[in-house]
Amino acid sequence: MATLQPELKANGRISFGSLLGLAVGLLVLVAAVGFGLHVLQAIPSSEWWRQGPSLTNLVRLYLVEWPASWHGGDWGVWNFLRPGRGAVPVITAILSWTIVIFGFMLPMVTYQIYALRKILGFMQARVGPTQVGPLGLLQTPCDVLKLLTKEDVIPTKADRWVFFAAPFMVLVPASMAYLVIPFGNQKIVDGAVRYSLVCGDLNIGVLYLSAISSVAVIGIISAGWASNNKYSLLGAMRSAAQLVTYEVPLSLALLAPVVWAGTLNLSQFAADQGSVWGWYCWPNLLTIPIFVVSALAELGHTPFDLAEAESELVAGYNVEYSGMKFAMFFLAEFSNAFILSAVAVTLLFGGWQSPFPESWGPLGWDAGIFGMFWFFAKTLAMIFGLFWVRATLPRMRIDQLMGLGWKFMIPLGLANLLLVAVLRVLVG
Amino acid sequence: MAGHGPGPVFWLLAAVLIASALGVVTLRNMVHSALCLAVTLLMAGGLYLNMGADLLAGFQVLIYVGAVVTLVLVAIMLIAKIADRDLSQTQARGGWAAAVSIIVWLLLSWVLAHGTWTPNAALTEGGADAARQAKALSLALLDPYLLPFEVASLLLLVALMGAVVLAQHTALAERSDIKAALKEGEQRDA
Repeated sequence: MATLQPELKANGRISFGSLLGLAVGLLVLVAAVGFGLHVLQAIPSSEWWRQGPSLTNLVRLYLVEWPASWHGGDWGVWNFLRPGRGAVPVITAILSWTIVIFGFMLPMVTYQIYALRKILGFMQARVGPTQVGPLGLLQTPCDVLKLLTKEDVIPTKADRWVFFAAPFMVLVPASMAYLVIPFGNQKIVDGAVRYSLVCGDLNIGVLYLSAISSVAVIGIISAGWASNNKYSLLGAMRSAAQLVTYEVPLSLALLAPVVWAGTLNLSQFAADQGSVWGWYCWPNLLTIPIFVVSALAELGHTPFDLAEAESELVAGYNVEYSGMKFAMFFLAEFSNAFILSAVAVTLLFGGWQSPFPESWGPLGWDAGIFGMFWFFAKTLAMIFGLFWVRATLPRMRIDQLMGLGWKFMIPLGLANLLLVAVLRVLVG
Repeated sequence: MAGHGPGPVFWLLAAVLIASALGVVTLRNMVHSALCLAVTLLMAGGLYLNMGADLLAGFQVLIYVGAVVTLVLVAIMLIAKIADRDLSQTQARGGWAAAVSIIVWLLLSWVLAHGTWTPNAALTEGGADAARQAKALSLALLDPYLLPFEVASLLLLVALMGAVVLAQHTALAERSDIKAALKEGEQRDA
C-alpha cells in the first residue's frame, strides 16, 4: 500500500515537483509576513485605532461602510444591496456576531470540553485525556474532526425533515445569545457608543436572552420525536419537562437583578456596577443559588442529567444522532454553559469590571483588553463551579426533580423577587 | 430601520409567514403543523421588530414560540398514540374553517381601515427605545388597564381549575375502576 505521507524524496532523489512546491510555499510565506507587517504598521494611524480598536468598529469601518462607499456610493443596479444608513448597525452586528461564533465560540467550546474532561478526571482521581498532543491538548480538536468526517446516519423510519432541522433549532438559539454578551468595556465619545465589545447592543437584552433560549425546547422535542425511537422520545419528554419547569425559576432569578438595576440592557448592567461593593450580587444574595440551581437544570448537568441518564435511556433525545448533527447538540450544550455563566457574571458579578479599586494600579484597570480579562476570568470561574458540581453530586430522580422545581424553586424565586423589589424601594 | 412604506424585509417576513401559516392548516402531520405554527409566530415577531416594537417582539417569541408551541407539541405527544408515526389530522371541516376565517379577515380589515387610531403617546414618543417602551407598557398595564389585565388572569385561573377538575375526574374514575376490579378479584378468590 502506498504511503499517504507526501514525500520530499521520491525514489531516493529529491524530485522537481517537491522543490517547486517548497519554493511556492516560501514565496507565499514571505508575502504573508510582508502583508502582515504592512497592516501592523498602518494600524496606529488608522481610523480604526482612532475610533477604538474593537471588533464591531473593524467590521463597521472595513466590511460595511467602506464597501458601501465604492463607486461614490452608487452601485447602479445593485443599489438595493447597499446598506442604508439605518441598516449599518444591523449589518455590523450580524457580521461581528458571525465572526464571534466562528472565531470564538467554536474553539472555546472545543476547549471547554477538554477542560471538563481534565477537571472531572482530576476530581475523580483519573488523568483525563493525555495521548493526543502535549497533555492531550489536541484530543478535542481531533474529536471534532472525527465528528465532521463521520458518516451522517439518518434512521430509515425517521422523519427526515424534522430530523434534519432539529439540531439547527437547538444550536441557532444557543449561538444567537452571543449577540448581546458584553465581553468588555465600552467607550462613549460625544454621547454615542464608539467603541464597544458587544456585537449588538440590544435594549431588551435580558428579554432577548430568555426569549431566544426558550425556542431550543422545540428543537429538543422535535429531535426526540423525529428519531422514531422510544428512548429518544422518552429522553425528549424528560428534557422538555425539565427545561420548561426550570425556565420559570431561571426567569425569576433573571428578573431580580433587572428589578434592582431598572434596565434590560446587558452593557448597561455591566457599566452600572462600578466598584466591587456596587455589584448586584449583594442585594441578590438569594438570587445566586436560585440562578445556579436553575442553570444546572437547564444545562442538564449532573444532579439533573435525567434526560441523558445513560443507564435508563441510553443517551436521551440524541440517541439516533451521529456525526456533525450530534456535535451540534453537544456544541449547544457547552455553549449554553458559557452563556449562562456569562449572563450570571454580567447581571450579578460586575461583568467586565475589575474587583479591585482603581488605586491599585494595573489590578484595577478594566478598559479594553483588561476588561475582557476580568470578564473571562469570572466567567471561567463560574464554568469551573458548574463542572465542580457536575463531578460531585449524584443524579436525582425525575419526580424529585419536578417536585423541587415546582414546589420549592418557583416559590423561592417569587419570594426572592419580592424581597429584591422591597429592598430596591427601601434603598431608593 | 423603518422607512416609508413596507420595505423588502417586510415582504420577506410576510411571504414566509403566509407560507408557513398555509402549512399549519394543510399539512397532514400534526407535529409538522405545530412546527409551521412556530415559524409563523416567529415571523410575526419579526414583523413587530421591523416596526420598531422590540419589546413586543421579545414577548411574542418568549410566550408564543417558547411557551405555546412547546405546550402544543407536548400536548400532541400526550394525547396521540405517540408510537403512531402519522399523527394525522383531517380537513373534514375545511369549508367551515375557510368561511369563518374569511369573515374574521373581512371584519378585521374593515375595522383596521375605518377605525380611528390614536397612538399611545407614551409608547411612540421615544421611537424604538425599548427601555421607554417597557416602562410605558408596565405603567399602562398596572394603571389604566389594570382591570382587563386582572380579568385575563382570572380567565387563565378558570382554565387551570377546569383542567384540574377534568384530570381529577379521570383519576377518580380510574381509581374506582381499579377498586371494583380488586373487589371482584377478592370475591372470586373467596
